[in-house]
Amino acid sequence: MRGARRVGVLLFGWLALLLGACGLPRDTHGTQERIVRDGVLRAGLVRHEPWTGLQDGKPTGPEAEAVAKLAEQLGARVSWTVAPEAELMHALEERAVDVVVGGITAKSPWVKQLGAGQPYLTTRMHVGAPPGQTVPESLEGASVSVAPGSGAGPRLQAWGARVREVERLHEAPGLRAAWDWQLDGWGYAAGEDVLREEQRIWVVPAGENRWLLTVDRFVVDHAEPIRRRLLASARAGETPTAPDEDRR
Amino acid sequence: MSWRQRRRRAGHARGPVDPEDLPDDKRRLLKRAQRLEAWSLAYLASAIVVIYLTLGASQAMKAAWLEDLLSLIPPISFLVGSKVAHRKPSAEYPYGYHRAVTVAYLVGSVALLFMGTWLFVESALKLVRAEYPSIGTTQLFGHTLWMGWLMLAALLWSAIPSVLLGRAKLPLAESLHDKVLHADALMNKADWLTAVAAMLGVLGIGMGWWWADAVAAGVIALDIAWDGQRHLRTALGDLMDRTPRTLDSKHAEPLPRRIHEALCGLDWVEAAQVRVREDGHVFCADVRLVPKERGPELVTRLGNAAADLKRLDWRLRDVLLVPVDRLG
Repeated sequence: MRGARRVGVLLFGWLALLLGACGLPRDTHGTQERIVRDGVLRAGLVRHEPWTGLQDGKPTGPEAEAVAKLAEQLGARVSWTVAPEAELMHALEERAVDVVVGGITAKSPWVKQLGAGQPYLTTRMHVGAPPGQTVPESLEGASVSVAPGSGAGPRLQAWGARVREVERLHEAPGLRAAWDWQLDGWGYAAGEDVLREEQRIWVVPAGENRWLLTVDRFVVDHAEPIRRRLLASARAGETPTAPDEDRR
Repeated sequence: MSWRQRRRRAGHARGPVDPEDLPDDKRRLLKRAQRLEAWSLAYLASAIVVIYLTLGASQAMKAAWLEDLLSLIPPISFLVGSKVAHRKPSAEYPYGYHRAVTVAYLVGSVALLFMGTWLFVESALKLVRAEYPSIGTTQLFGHTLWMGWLMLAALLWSAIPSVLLGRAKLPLAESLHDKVLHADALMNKADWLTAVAAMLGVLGIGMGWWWADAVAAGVIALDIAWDGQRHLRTALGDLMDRTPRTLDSKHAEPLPRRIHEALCGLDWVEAAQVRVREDGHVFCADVRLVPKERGPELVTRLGNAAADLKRLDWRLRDVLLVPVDRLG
């Protein structure tokens, strides 16, 4: 009995080592092999400026560029599908696309049934003060500018702030409620309170664990460049309001 | 409150414990068992935390986690039961507190049965719906690592110390005749099987076999439910005062036969009928006997016989001898 158990444990140990040697994890549907073999990465793009956008019908934005770079590393080209998030998540379920990007957050209701990547960037929304000033301890009666339709508005109102919705947030005077990378880009000092926190992820089909590992390794390595590009876009005065608004 | 003070208070609270309850050597064993169970609790808590942190989307990991969570029940029942069960009978509870252990046993087994069944149904649904489990990555010392490796490490931690604890508890359970401790020891010993099943599930996901995870979880769930029904049947039997059986429920306990033989060996006893029931970890015997003569010495004889019978086995707590005209 005892001998049998020992043999069992030993066998299991060997099995584990053997498996470990041959490149776990693997994909259930061989997504990564297929991308490398066919040289095509099918990517879904959710328009979400400044993360992703379209310029003259071509995908732009830091995440779109990162996807192109990932494809290049794998020796593939990107075949883009531009669609709303819900449509692309459905496509992921059916394995019609290999990865979906566009400032998608870990809170997205679809990602639980799919292969959610590792949160590579955590973004927080704060109230920021112009250079040389600080955000007052109490926002009671303070005037704060927010982007139209931003969820920060009602929260600030509940705190007693006077909220002004402005189209061009980057030109608004005084306090502004914005993402940390925007505040950094404008040289603003962020206040303590967090109005909203989101973890950004890339999403792949369920069960494609080797592909997920590849995507995660890539995107974690590229978190800093992506953040820098976001910061630059804020500095350049692009305000991410309505994603479908054509500013040019 | 300092640790020492708390100890003293705990000692004080144990005042009403029957000092005659356990023989000296057994009391030492009980202390050891309590220490082992306290260690088990601490270890299990660590295993539960470690597995929870690496849970991910794996159903097999969830099953292993739940199994660890449920295996908290026996040590807790044992520790609480061993404090409560040895209290002296009171006006409120004239038969003492020995059944507290059986009650704990019943509650624990029902929990096992239901959780096991529920988990099995959930795993089966995952198979039917062909849900593909995704195991992502995590950052460890600056490296992006597949979570599966961490899961395997966590499962190893939940398996190996558990087996050692189980092996240490088993002989204690036998010499203390404690069912909860026995069930706990067996669960610990079998825990490595659960861990191996969950490991195969995780490795299966790694191999790209999406079904391996749900199958492993289903096997673990069945194991939990099976344990549950086994313990439930034992607990119900105890509450129904079934004829005592040995700890593993495989054989009839020889004590009733030995009592009967001892009584029939007495020259003043014509016939005797023995019923023995189990109160937690002790036995109580009800004996009806037909004496050959009914002189004034009968009461003394009955008293002596009861004292002699109690010496047959330390677990025999109570012997009630009732003289009758004839056996019904």
